[in-house]
Amino acid sequence: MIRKIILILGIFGVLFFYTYEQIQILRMGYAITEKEKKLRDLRQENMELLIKNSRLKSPKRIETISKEKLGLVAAKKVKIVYLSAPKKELSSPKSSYELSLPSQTRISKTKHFISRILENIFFGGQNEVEAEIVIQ
Amino acid sequence: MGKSKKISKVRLAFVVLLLSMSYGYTITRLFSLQLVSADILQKYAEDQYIMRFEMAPRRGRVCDVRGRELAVSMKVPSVFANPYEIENPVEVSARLNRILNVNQDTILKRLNRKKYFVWIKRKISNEEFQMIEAAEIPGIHFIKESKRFYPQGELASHVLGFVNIDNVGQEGIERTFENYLLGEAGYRKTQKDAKKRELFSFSDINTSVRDGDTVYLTIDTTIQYIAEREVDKVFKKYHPESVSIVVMDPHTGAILALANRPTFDPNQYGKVDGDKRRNRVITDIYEPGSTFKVIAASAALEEKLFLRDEKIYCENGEYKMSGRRMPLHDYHSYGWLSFDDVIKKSSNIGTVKIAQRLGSEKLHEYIRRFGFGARTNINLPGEQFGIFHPLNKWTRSSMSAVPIGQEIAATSLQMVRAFSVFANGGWLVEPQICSRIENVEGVVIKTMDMNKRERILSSETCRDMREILQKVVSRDGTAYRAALDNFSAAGKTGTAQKADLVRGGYAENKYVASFIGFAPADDPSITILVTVNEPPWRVRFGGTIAAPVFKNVAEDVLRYMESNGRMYGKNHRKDNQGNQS
Repeated sequence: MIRKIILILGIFGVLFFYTYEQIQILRMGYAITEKEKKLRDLRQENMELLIKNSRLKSPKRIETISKEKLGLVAAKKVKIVYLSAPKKELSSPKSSYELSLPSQTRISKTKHFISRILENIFFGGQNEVEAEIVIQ
Repeated sequence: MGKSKKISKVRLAFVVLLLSMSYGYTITRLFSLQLVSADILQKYAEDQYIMRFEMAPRRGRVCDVRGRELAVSMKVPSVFANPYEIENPVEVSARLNRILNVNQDTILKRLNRKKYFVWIKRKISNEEFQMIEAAEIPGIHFIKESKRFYPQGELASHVLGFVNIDNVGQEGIERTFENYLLGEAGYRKTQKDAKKRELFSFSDINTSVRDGDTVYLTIDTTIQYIAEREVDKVFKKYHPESVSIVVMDPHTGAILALANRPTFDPNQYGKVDGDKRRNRVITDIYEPGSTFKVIAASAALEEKLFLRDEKIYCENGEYKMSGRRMPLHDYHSYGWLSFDDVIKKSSNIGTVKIAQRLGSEKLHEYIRRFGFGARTNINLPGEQFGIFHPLNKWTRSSMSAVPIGQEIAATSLQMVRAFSVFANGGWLVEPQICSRIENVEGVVIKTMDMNKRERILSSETCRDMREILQKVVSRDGTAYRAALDNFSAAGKTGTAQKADLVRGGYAENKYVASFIGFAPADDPSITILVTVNEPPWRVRFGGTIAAPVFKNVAEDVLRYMESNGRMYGKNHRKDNQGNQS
C-alpha cells in the first residue's frame, strides 16, 4: 500500500516537475523576446547617436565654431620637428604639442585646450610619429 | 402486457435511431474536419499560432578612410491606413494633410480604395510621427522601415550617390557596392500565444539575418571638405556652368577628394534634377587644351628626341601649316624658346613642332599609354571613355591639334591619372575610390589592390618633367598663382575652347579653364586637378581662376597630411628663402 502511494506520488512529482520545466522554458522564451526587443531599441538609439555624432563632428561645423566662436585663425607658417617618442593621449601633461599664436590672437587656457581637441579631431589621432608643432 | 412490451421496443428503437443519427453525424463531421477540410483548418490554426518573421537586414554603412560615417541606415516610422477601419475618409484626409503636408485629394483617393493596406506617407520624421500618434486616428497605423541618412549632407555627395525609397542604390557607391551594402534577410518560424507573444522555444526554421557590410572609401572627410570649400568659393563668386576638383594620391591612385558644383544633398535627392547629381569628374568629357601638351613633351623626352636646352623656333606667334585652314597661333609671340620654356610659356607652335619630330604614330602610342580613350575602371557608375580617334582616322590637321589638346576629349579623372605619372616616377596607376570592405563583425572581407600600375615612362623623364612643370609655377610661368607658400609645386594650366555641338567648330566665348598639378614638386603626395567649365570671359584662363584653387587646396591639404605623418618622403617645406629644404 505504502509502495503504491510512493509510486503515485513519484509519478505526480515527475509530471509536476515536467510541467514546471515547460513553464520555465516559456518564461525564458518571453524574456528572450523582451531582450531582443530591447536590443533592437538600443541599436536604434545607437544609430541615432552615431548620426548625431557624425553631424557634430562635420569639418564645416568645426571650422565655423573654431573661427567664429573661438577666434582661431589659420597659421601663416608652421614648423614641424619630428620626434621619435610614442603617441601620447591628449590629456597627458607631457603632450608634445605646443602652440604659440601671433600676439594679436592671444587665447585663454580654456580655448587653448579646446583648440588642442579640435586639432586632434581635425587633424586626427592616428599618428605613428609624434611631432612638435610650432606655429608662427 | 404485450402492448407495453411493444411500446418499449418502439421507444428503444427510437432512442437507438436518435443515438445512431447523433453518432453518425459526429463521425461524419469528424471525417469532414479531419480528412476533407484538414488542410484548410490546419492553415487557419497555423495562422493563429504560427508566426513567420522576416528580419530585414540593416543596410551597411559607408565610411571614409578613417572610419567616419558618410552614410548610415536607421528605422523610421511609415504611415499606412486600413480603409475598412475609417468611417470618415474626408475628415481623416484633412487631418493627415495638415500634419504630413501630403495632398489631401491623394490621401482621400487612397482611403477610398477597397483594400486593407494603403500607404499614406513613407519614412516620416519623428515630429510627424508624434503628431499623428497623438491624434489617435482610427484606421491609421505605423510600420518601421529602414531609411538612409547622410549625416554630412552635401559632402562627397557625387561619390556616395543615393538610394531610392526602397533602399536600392541608384548612383555612386550606393549603386556600385549594392551587393555588399544590402545584406541578407533572416527568417524565423515560431509560435505565438493568445496574446500574440512569441513562444521562443517553439522556433522552427531559423536563418540569421546578415546586416550589410561596411564600405570604407579612400576619401578623407577633411580633405574632401577642404576641396569642397574652395570650389564653393569659385562657384559662388563667378557662377560658371560647373566646377570640378579631384585630389588623388599619385602613388596608389587613391582618390582623397572628389567634388563637383553644382551639387545636391543626398538626403533630398528627389528635389534636384539629374544635372546636379551628375558626377562630372567621370561623366563629362572636355578638350583638355594646354594641359595636354605635357604628353607630347614627355614622349619626346622619353624617346630622347630633344635636349631640354635645345631651342625651338616658335615662328613669332603665327605658324602656317599644311592641312590647316587657319595658321596656328600662340597667345604671345615667341621667337626661339628652349624645350623647357615651350611648356613653361605654353607655346602651341613649340609643342606642335615637338610633336612633329615625335611623329603621329609615336604620339598616338604614348597618348594610348597614358590611358586616354579608355575607362580608368574606377568603382563608380557612368564613367565615359573620352574621345581619342584611332590613328587611321587622323586628318592632315590632327598633328597640329592633338598635341595641344584639341581633337581629343578626356574626363577629369583621366587627366589626373595621366599627370600622376610624372609625380610617381613613371607609373600609370588605377584610381581607387574604395579601400576595403568589412562585415558587421569588423572582419575585412575585401581589400582593394592599391598596387595596380603599369610603367609607361622612365623615372629620368619624369624627373625632367617635374622640373619643367615646376617652372610653370614660377614667377614668370603661366601658373604663378598656383605657387604654394610652404611647399614646392608643379603643374600646368589649360584654357581650352569648348566645342559647339550644334553648329560644329568652337563655341564663341566658351572655355574650360583648368589647372592640374602636384605637390610637393620633388616627392609629390597629392595630384590635384581643378576644372572650371564656362567661367566668365574676364577670368577664362586656367592660371587665373583654377590655379588659385589649387594653391588654396594644396596648402591646407599638405599641412593636414604633414601633421598626420601621411606625406611621402621628408623635408618638404620651403625654407625662409623659399627654397625646398
